[in-house]
Amino acid sequence: MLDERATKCVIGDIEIKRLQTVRNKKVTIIRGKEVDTNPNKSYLRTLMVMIGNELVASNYADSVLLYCELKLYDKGNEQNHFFAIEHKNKVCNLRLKQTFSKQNIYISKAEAEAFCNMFREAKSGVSMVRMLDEEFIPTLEELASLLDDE
Amino acid sequence: MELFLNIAKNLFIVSLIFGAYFLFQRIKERKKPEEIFEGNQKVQEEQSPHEIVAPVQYYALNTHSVKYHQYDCFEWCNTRNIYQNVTLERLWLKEPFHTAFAKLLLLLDSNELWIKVPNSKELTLRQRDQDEKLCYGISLKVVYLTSLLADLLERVLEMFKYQEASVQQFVILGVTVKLIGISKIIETVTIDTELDERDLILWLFETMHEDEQQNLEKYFDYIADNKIIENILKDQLRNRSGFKHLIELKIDKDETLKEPLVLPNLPKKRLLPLVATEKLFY
Repeated sequence: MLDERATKCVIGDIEIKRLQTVRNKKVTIIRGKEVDTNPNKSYLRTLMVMIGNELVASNYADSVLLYCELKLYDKGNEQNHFFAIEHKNKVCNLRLKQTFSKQNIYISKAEAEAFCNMFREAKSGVSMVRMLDEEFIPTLEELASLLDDE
Repeated sequence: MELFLNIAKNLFIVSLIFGAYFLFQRIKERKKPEEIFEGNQKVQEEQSPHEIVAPVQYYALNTHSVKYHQYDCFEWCNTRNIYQNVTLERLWLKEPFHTAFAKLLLLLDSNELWIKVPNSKELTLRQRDQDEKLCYGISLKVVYLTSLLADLLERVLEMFKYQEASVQQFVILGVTVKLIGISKIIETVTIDTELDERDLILWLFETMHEDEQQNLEKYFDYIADNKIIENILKDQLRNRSGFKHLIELKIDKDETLKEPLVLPNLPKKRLLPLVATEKLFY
């Protein structure tokens, strides 16, 4: 089941590039880009979010959800999927819920706005048509090979 | 008188000629070593290295090669090479060591064990299924144990070169047992499972002879205190890059069953001749 793809898509030469937004907590945006030579245009295929050594959002839909939760910082609910709101000494903080790491990760207000600004700028210079129609959802094995730094 | 004088003259002339001839030969011999070098170069070109072969000794009734009782149950070539290079070259075929070592190799053969490469990132990956269930996976850089053991055991034996064969056998058993305790299995689901070294060590004590059990304890402690294995492991792992491997975890942990590893049963020995050993060229 995991080896099959969720959607049928046409694969070209997809390159993966990273965008670092919040360096203290190692929040990165991963873009999968495809370049066509005939009209000389570049299309986006994937948008993923990575925190530390974990892939938190592997879809475009999940990454938009994460963006919205950080946008509504204080006005969120208990129904947030990724973050949990905690009050401490009249200060509000967001904590990551599902992690394998042993230390808790908190995100402050300014860092959330920085992430939101970078998320909008990550879509510049690139058309989003092919992502909405044919998204490239890789399997776990392809992800492990694509994110191989060494 | 004139005849006598003529004869003396002729003899004198003849003796002069022969004396000059012998002198001329001696002068030749002194010059010969310079000529010899010029002469040998021609000789070496004529003789090719393939022609210089030791003569084959034919013994009486040399129809069949010598055969030994061996285990022929290994599937993969790595374990087969370890078995040949360690036991059959040195002919360590006595009972308590032979079966114990072969059982440990069968354990390595049937299960895939791996060791994590140091300074490698552990990436946790998440994905959604068609039913929108989350699936987790962890990717590591990994080196297989069977490819490590061949080089590792040779280096360990070089350190204990000048000691007795019984001591070398203890060291090899201790090294394999400790490495199996460090390594982890691929087919299990969680990462925290490890093999119990104590069960393997207890089994080793039971198989060995009573007189040799005291020496076993000494060398296990010697290996554990001096950290020989850890230093050799680091040198080996430094040069190898490793393979990228994915471990898939499941959400419902009730479905997972931790099956412990069991030492397998060996088949019977067979009479086989020695095969040419394949030396690995890492």
